[in-house]
Amino acid sequence: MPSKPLRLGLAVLAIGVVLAPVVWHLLARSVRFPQPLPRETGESWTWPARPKVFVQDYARSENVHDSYARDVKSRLDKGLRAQDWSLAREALTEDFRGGFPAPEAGTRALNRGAVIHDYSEPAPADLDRDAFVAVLRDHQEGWTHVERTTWRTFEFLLDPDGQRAWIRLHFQIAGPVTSDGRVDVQAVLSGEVRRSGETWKVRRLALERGCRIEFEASPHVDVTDAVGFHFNESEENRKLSQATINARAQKFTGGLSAIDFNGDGFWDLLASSINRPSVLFQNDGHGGLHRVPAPGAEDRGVAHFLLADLDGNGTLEAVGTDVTGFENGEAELSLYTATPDGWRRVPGALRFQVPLTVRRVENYCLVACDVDRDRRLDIFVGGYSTNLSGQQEFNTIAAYDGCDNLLFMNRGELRFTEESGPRGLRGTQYTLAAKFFDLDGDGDEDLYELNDFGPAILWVNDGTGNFQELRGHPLAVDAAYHMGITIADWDNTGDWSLYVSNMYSHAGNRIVPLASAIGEELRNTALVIARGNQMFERPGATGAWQETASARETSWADWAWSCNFYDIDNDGDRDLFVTNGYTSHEDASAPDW
Amino acid sequence: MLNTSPPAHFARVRLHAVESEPLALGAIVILNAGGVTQREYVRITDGFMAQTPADLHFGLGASERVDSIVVQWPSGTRQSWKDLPADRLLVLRENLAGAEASELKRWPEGRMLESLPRPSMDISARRLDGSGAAPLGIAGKAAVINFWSPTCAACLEEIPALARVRRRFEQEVQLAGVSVDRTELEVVAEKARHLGADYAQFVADDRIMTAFFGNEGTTPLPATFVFDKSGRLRRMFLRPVEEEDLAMLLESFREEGVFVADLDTRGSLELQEQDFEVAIRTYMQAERLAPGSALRWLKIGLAQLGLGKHAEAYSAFLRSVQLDDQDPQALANLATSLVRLGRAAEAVDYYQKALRIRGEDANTLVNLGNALGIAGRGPEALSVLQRACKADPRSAAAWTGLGKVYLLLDRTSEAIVALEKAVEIEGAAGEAGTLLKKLADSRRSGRGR
Repeated sequence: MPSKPLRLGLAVLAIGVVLAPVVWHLLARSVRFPQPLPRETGESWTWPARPKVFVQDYARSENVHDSYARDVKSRLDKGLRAQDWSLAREALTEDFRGGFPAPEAGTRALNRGAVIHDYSEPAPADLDRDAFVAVLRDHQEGWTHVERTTWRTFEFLLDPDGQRAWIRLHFQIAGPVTSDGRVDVQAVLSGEVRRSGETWKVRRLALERGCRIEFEASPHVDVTDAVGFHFNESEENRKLSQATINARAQKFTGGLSAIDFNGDGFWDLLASSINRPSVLFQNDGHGGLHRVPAPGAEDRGVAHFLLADLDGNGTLEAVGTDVTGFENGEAELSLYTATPDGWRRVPGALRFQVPLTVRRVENYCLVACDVDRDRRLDIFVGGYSTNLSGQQEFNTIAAYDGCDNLLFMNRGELRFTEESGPRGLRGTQYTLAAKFFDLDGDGDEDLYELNDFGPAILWVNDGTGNFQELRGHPLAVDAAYHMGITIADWDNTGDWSLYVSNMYSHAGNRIVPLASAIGEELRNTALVIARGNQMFERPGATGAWQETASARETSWADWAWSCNFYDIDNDGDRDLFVTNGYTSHEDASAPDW
Repeated sequence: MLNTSPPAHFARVRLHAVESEPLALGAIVILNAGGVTQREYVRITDGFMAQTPADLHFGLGASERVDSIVVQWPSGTRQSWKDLPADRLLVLRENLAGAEASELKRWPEGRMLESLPRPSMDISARRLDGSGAAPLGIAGKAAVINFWSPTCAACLEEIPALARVRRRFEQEVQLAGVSVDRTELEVVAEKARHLGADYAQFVADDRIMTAFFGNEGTTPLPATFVFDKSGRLRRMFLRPVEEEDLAMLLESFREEGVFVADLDTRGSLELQEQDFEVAIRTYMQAERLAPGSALRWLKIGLAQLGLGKHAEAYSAFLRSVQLDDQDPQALANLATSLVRLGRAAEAVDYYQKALRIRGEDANTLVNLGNALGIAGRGPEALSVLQRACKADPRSAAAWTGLGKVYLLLDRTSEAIVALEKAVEIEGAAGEAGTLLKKLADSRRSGRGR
């Protein structure tokens, strides 16, 4: 059996393509790098030793990186994808030496229909370039075609002479096999690349860790069409959306909720979508999903809902994220209640104060909890932005010009009072997710608030629904682009783990360590962002919280949005799912966004 | 994605609290089965913008029983249950000893295709009546393509319902029957007539079977494929179709069009890119679909301003203010468009209203002061521009405006002081510098005379 961290790591589905320029742009904007101080000297290094001296000018280093990446990808990536072995061979120097395990190497384990070869033990670097390519060819034996090749460098230490560099990278090849199965080979490699004439080639490669997963048949079958799980897909709308994506405008989707809204024992689906009306799919109980009117569909539609029985009468209410009714320094969230005739709006139930100058509010985060233990569910709304947001602090690591948090205390009979201020929840960041859980084990639920462009906040409940910010806690130190959170005792140790999604960046991992002039504190902050998702664990009920995502190989999931622990194979421990991705330009050669 | 992992046992746990809110959010459930102890935490939200069921799911592997469950209720009490069945929904109630175990509701066992098909509605097929070949469906209209056989009882049963659906959606949906029986076509045709299948009938061939079922042989019957008007596959029924299921799906096609929100996003993008005409056109399309957005009219006004069309801009801003008379940005822009139309006196009220909402905002004060000045209300303009300079002492526009009003009031030396402050901030190339130069020139020429 592979180790638990490895198995957990394998469960992280990393799809999509990181776009170095885009992420670098974001990163650069967020940390505002000053010009670095060049420190390079002419000291030499010999593979496999990691160089102690390298080019610190990240602009120069990235420039060379781009040349190297282009040269290697156009040969190795392209060659592997086309199964053109002579082209792949051209990416390697004549004196190339490198190690890559044969398909059957490593320890072999069976896991729910999958054969996993765990290549934890590094293979000796004793293959010449023909033998190395031959091993990669062996891995593709029986594939109908190559579905994916990945060569993404996350460390690039350029020698001061500009002619060679030390690299670490994520490597992946995957494809379907003739027997309806699929093979996925993933590895972390380190190596040396050299300029050979006008071309960069790989001279040394060593496997740090890796695995090969063989599915006899896909464990999942795409039944999208069979069940009718389709949104508004009119031709006109698809063209409009594509044009917006092509222009690289922000194009967000949203989340997917499972809830039995009509109480028939089947889970229905609510597809939320930022800036668009959500779509409600009713499970028909015999193999299909029907689009049915969501609450508020007769008006403009609402982007996201939280559905819960808020008045204890056995039927659901729907709290919407949309904010309307700006008048005399007040506005309101929408609230709908289920009736035999459909959803009925309850006007004025969720009113709150806003500054007179605020005319638009965007919220994406709705969480329910009975914070004061009066047997009624209260609603926390993590605010994202208003029409006054997006000023100087936007897209930095300390943005506090987002939007006020709201805490609606449930007073019964669908009456609520907004009490975030008096109860201490005074966040004004760009909140995207929040989780109530009993952090301190005192029997009440504390609140963990995750923010875009800034640090997370931990609010401790005093047991009466009043909160105080717990500053300096390990969970609330790092600034990042937090987007989702999930919690589980995933490995049945009796300890809760928190997993937070963020944006992994290969470019960020390459560049930030070079930016010595920005100071250690800022560099560490930027590295937290670049390293992607975080996992916080506390060994023993009273131990200190530790960030373990890198150690457990669960940090790299590209531009991650949502995350969820779930035991998908019913084997008694929780697997981890991370949704991630980008939208693609119509022109396949243009960058994704 | 349908999970086809080999089956293993599980337990689904639902809590009902009575001493706290009923969902028992925050309760901890500790389950023991086969020597493995698992814990779960009751919540209804997880991840990003996502709600999860409050029911907890535990995988049990090979364990056929749950040895024990302990619940730590939000009220602080602990309660335990022993020896419960696996593969059931277990309902546990606070303060009640027994557990309710029931079967989970499931979809009926469905037939799956052995390989992924690539069905298309425009594939040509031989007509049943022998009149040659034709496409099963033609782009521009949704299509329902039903595979059937005279020997398939379930097929025969659903055909009258299909015919009714066809009549109900006659204008927008085309229906085609495809017989998988390729011989004895007269029998097939007679059966179709008898059942009232008064829509186009075709006969399958190998190519069609491969396209729709991924093979040339086995076919789950009846099978119905639904395409939208652009030819995209939207639903496969590998079982008999319920009339209402099909009708609901076709009904939902009627509601499809462009998302207004996408139009607004696109308009905003074009405005940002200064492609004002496209922005206006896009916003107007959105406005036709979902009229009455104050923000949209504000942006239309800004785009009109970008085109230099002040009258059109004024109309758009006015519409925005009519829809939301508390938006200071719309009010200020309405006032600005009035100034540009030479109606500065009318602009004053709107600026003042924007100011009441915004507070002492320097830009709005400058614009108000300038409007008052243009309207010939010099002393009021002076007071307002003094407030602007106080609100933002680094505003060159405020000092320039103040200087101009002093000039208007013939208080030249004070004007020079104000204009010099503006020059300190923005340099001599700005309006204040130009005015100072003119003043100096005029003084020199005055001395010359």
